Amino acid sequence: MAESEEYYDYLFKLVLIGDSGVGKSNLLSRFTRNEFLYESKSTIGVEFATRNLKMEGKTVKAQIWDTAGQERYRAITSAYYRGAVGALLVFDITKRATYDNVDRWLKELREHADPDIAIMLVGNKTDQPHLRGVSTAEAQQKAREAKLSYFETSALSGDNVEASFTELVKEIYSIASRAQIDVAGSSWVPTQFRPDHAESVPLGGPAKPASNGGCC
Amino acid sequence: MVYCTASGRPCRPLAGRGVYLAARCAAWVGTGPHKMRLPAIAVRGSADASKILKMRQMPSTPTSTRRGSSAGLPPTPAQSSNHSRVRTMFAAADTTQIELISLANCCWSGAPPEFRASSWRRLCGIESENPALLTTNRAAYRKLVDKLGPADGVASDQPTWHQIADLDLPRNAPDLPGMQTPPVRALVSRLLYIWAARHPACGYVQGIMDVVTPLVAVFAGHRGYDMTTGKDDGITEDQWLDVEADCFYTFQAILAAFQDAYTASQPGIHRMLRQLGSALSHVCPEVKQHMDEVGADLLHVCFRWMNCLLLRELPLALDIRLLDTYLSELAETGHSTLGTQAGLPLYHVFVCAALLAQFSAGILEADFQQTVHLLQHVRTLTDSWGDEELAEVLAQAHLWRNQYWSPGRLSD
Ligand SMILES: Nc1nc2c(ncn2[C@@H]2O[C@H](COP(=O)(O)OP(=O)(O)O)[C@@H](O)[C@H]2O)c(=O)[nH]1
Ligand SMILES: [Mg+2]
Repeated sequence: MAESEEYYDYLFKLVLIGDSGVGKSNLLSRFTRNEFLYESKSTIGVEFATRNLKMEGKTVKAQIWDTAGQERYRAITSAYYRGAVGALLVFDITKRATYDNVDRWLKELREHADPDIAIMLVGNKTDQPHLRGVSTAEAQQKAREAKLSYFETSALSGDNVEASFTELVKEIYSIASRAQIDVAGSSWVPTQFRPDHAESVPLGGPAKPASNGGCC
Repeated sequence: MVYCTASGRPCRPLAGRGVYLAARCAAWVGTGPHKMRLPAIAVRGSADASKILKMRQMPSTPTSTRRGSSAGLPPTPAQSSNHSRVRTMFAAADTTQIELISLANCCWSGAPPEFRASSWRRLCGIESENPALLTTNRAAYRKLVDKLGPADGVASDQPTWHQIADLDLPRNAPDLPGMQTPPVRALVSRLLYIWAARHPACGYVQGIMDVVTPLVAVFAGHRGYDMTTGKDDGITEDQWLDVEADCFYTFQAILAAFQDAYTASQPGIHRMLRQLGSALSHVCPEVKQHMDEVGADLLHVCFRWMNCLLLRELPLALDIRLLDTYLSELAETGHSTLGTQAGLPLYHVFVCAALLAQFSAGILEADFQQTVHLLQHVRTLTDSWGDEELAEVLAQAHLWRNQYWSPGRLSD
């Protein structure tokens, strides 16, 4: 299965969060398979997909978990944050309510995710500018206050999807590679890269691909 | 009482299950039917289980030789004998009462298509030999529509309506045009909205919409509705309401068995997942061990199996076939004092275990990602299944349930 995808130096677990219907699953399928499905089924529980990216000659496997947005599922989705080093918090720029809920999602991240998780705010569905209910400036402002980066995307047209995921991975990569240097100099290590998180983020040197007898 | 053990079909007697079970087990291990002894339930399960598992994989066992059949094949002899028993029951229904237990016993192995709608209604208790019962129930549903349904298209509980009608309905069953026609969209959204209003502890939970699809297929299908095209053959508005009522009550009966799967923090799902883990360590210890080793948590891979009752993991024809068995289980165990401890949810757990066992070869070779991928996309494999493959899973589950379940035995 997936031979060409097997080798990687780093494995980053990322999570997609945000209200139901904002386009999380389609962002994921656009990024990992370059697909958009007008009628994809609602996500139940958790699904995931991976894609390999090159960073400074190293292979980073982004393992992206997609969760259901409905309130009912939040009790179990918290388990999915375990070991995640990055989060894309998605809202729908045409649905004000999904933007208003961003604070609740941030609160949930603070409660359940690692304190050092890298978070990116994503406003999706820019292909519908006539329906826009949240201005770019406003969202940028919120992101700045919460110290997040902000991207606007369209899973439908594909606009900025690649750029947003890549940017988040790059951000994490730079922390991770710094952490590794720090490990050598035995100084501060961000909590998500400490050994007890190593199961999902094998960063104590280039990870062995699973096929070489290693196990992620 | 024991039907068709020779063919290995999943037919079960209602009385003398021990005898039947012993006969079945004996058939599996090839020691002949005279060994009338229950598998020792007190004995540690793994030894027994692995023996049975090995038997399962032996090419000489009847269950593993029926591969590659397709849904289009005629029913097997065992199935057609059950079908003809149901047909006989309905043919004589004017003079002889249809015993619910006998009906359930036959439909457990698949209802004949032309009597499926009526069989399902009887199995959930909304139809009987007295035609007034169904009429009364359908009238009662119309009252519910008036009382709780959205009035002139405006729902009082806007967030729920929005989630159902605006967010989930457009992406429901995208592969079935028959689920997206105006009458069916109206039916599905109203039915779910009314159910949510009547079950405030659950409310609308994403995934329960999947349960409605096979119900529409059967009850509207019985009126000539074509799920693949959405052509409706002149079904009147009033007839659509009857269809909706039948769907509603059947839906309600199924979900009643799983109610705590949908209440806050979904305790029922977590219990079923724990039971599944426990069942697996008995029936497929090597699969369980492998999944533990690679870190494939059942919460990750099987949550949807519980939340959508496996319906998303099978093609429509098999969803319908699965519900034949589930509704029969419900009719048999619905009044069991064991409540949610046993009954349909427990059987469902064993069906999930049997399904996992089907993919054991693949799982044992897979790493974490491959395992999750495999089990989250079993639909790509089951799409080519026919009745036979599902029947094997259902029979296996029945066998394991009787063998491995006793109160307190599976952790919950
Ligand atoms: N116009 C537009 N529609 C989108 C976009 N992304 C998703 N959608 C639609 O929004 C609905 C919900 O998308 P989905 O990915 O399932 O959302 P999720 O619940 O967050 O996973 C679907 O009907 C998609 O077709 C987008 O970028 N533009
Ligand atoms: Mg989704």
